[in-house]
Amino acid sequence: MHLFTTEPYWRIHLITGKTLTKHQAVWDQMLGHKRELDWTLDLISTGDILKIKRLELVYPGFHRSVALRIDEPGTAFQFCRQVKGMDMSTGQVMDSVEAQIIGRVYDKFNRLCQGYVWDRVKGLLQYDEVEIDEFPSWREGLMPPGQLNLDVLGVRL
Amino acid sequence: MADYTATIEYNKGNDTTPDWTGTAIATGGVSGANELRWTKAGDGGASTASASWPKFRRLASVGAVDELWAFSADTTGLKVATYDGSRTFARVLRFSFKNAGTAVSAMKLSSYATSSLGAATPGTQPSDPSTDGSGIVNGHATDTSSTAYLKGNIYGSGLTAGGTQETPSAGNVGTTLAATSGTAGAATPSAGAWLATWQSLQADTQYLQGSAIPQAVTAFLLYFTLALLSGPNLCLGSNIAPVAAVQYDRT
Repeated sequence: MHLFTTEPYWRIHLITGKTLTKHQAVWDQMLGHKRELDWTLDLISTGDILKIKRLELVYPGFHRSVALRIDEPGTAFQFCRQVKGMDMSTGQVMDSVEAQIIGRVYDKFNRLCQGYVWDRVKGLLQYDEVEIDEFPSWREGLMPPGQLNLDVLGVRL
Repeated sequence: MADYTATIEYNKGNDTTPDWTGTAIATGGVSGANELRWTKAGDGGASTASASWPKFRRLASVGAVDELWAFSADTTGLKVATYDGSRTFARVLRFSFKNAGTAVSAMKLSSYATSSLGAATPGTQPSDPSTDGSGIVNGHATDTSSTAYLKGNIYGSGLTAGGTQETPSAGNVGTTLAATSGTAGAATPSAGAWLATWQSLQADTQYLQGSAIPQAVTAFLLYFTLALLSGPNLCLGSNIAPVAAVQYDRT
């Protein structure tokens, strides 16, 4: 468990009693070495994605987190916004996670979701009544995610 | 695991027979390394340090900056052979994404005043001397119709959702590259195609977006090209280059 973190990350609690985070190391047969637990590769392939009962966003600071209760399998998701810069002789290095998002679809018919964003500039934000097929931006300067690949998120609607 | 490692590659051959070997530079520069630098024809040098890079005199009428150079180290660089500020050549720049990423949304490309990634103020030029890229990003009403001075184009999505690499043929990039080119929001090409009209790279106001969400954990090349314009109303400054960046969402 990380009591203090400088980067946001997700943590899940399964109905089996197991707790998993992205920081857990798993052996990757194709890579031939250990890597961090991957939401798509490891949770979907094992079926653990359907056993999530609680999804947490742990964000920078001392022991800070928020959580969503997941009542229906296949409705939890998470992703982060990555930015990679091209330096045009400005000396400004940029390869950063700008935000971590967690969410749950609470209205499958209307494809609406709710959850939290931790943003590097704005801090913790809560969102609600967001269309998962047209995910909006939460901060000026960041483009909206727009359409999300629900398959790799493990969302089943 | 879930993020890509990515490099930027430039063409040191020609459009018909591109040569990308040994041209990979990392994203984000340090002390003159991994930099893209712009200059007037004849002014650049392969061993010129970043701090000594020649100043560019802004153009009396709106036009393109002549040359783009790429530096893997402070004094180790090459001219991007197929950049000339026009839309004539297709194989100019590309991102190389390794196979360790899972994209959740389409790739997006734009430019910013600084690495803080703030919003643009279209048409507003900063006071002289400027020390950031806001002048280029904001554009000017007379020179660029308040679109950015930096224009770009992108080829499809690089990799389709089904895993097909999209690679452009040699030749023209789109049909229109004008000082006023730029539309609000995302400009998205069709699959396996360039945008017909180039897009202004103006923070989140005007930006490029790939045509699809790339297949997960698959290496690919995302071809793009740039044209930097200058004009009589562009601000003066010690270094007014913007920060260009690709953004995407991943698991």
